[in-house]
Amino acid sequence: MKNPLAFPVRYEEGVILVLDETALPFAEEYIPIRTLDEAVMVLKEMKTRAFGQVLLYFYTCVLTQDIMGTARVFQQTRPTFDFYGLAGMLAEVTKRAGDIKAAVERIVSAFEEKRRQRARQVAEILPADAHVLTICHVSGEMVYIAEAIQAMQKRICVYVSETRPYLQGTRLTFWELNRAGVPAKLLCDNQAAWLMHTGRINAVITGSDRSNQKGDIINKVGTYALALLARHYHIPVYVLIQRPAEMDLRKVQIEERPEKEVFMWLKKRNKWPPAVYPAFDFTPAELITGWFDIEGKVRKK
Amino acid sequence: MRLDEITRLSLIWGVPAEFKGLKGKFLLVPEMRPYLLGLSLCEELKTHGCPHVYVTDNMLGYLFFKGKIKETLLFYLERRTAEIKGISGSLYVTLLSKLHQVPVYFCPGKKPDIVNDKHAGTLDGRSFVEDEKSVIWPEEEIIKI
Repeated sequence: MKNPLAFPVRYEEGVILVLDETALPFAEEYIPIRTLDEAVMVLKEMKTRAFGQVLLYFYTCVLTQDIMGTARVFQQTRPTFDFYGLAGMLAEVTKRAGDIKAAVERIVSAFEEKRRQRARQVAEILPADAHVLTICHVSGEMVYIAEAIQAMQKRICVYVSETRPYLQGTRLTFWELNRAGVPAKLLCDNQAAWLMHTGRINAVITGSDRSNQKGDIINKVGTYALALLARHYHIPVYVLIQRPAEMDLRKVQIEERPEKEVFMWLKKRNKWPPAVYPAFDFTPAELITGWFDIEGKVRKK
Repeated sequence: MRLDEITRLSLIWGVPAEFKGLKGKFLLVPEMRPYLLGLSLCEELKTHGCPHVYVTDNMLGYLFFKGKIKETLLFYLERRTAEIKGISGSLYVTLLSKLHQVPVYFCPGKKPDIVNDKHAGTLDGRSFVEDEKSVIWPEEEIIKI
């Protein structure tokens, strides 16, 4: 069965189709996007994120024909992600391809093979009986990793941290692994330490929204705690990165979402308590064991 | 509320047996999945006039990293000479505290009332999984003190 989350945003005859990730796992629906304003709205409401927002940015540039202007608006909407980095990449490929649409087609068509290659590289270093803890959702790559590891005659079980409040772990990662027939277990975010303590985890794999040359990353909130606990238990932490930038990630603004979103998926109540919602956190390179970038470069300690 | 507005928080984990010692503290109340104990605890804190702020459990690491937490109050279920038994997540919170040099105070707690959710497969009574066999059930966690 094809995994819709591997390519959650498509472009068909002048319309961008965005898989509404907030409707999963209960419904598989696509939102049609025809303008920059509509694209910004689905981005703001987190209808798509991670790899989906990369695809959304590229396809929106096809609509607007404005690489930097689109990046500026996207960057204001989701300040932690590096849309200017994508703009640089797109501008570079556009020079060679002739126009933005051709450049986007070239970039997107190369993604699948690059991601599968990376999955094979990750699978290579995992143990023969891998018990991998993950958080959030790496846009279909956990399924690719499982397929690659099984092709190597090794075994895998993925332990999925539910990832409150948005529940990307439960609604996206756990759902897609089940659909693909990959052994998976679901846990509450706070159970991670106990699972490590009782010897049930032998690797941690996460994605990253940003990374730098030093090896620091910014990713979904909760990643830092997992990496810190993993180091305490001598468990390796591997991260999937895009193009590492030359910058100090400590200076990147960590997006704070509206506090009402902390209570997403809960039944309505008369009044909610005061809350904070930092959406990402910073994990220093010292806590990470290996980095796998999208261009096939691997760095390990 | 914004992160800039909060500082010198006292993190609560577990259900306090009494509220007397909490007066005068700015309390950080995590959700405490799967039971969502944080929600009912916030209601009780409000009636006792204790200022508080709510977060999901996975945000705690970032708050420690940012130096927002000055102490952890872990309300245990049972205490023996050299160890305590706490609800799910007690080890997560204890280790994060210790790894950030934040003191942990072990205090008597009480067993939570489990209303809807028994594991990660449901949230506020709503089921997100087809087969609960693939869900890790929470365990009471033992911590050496």
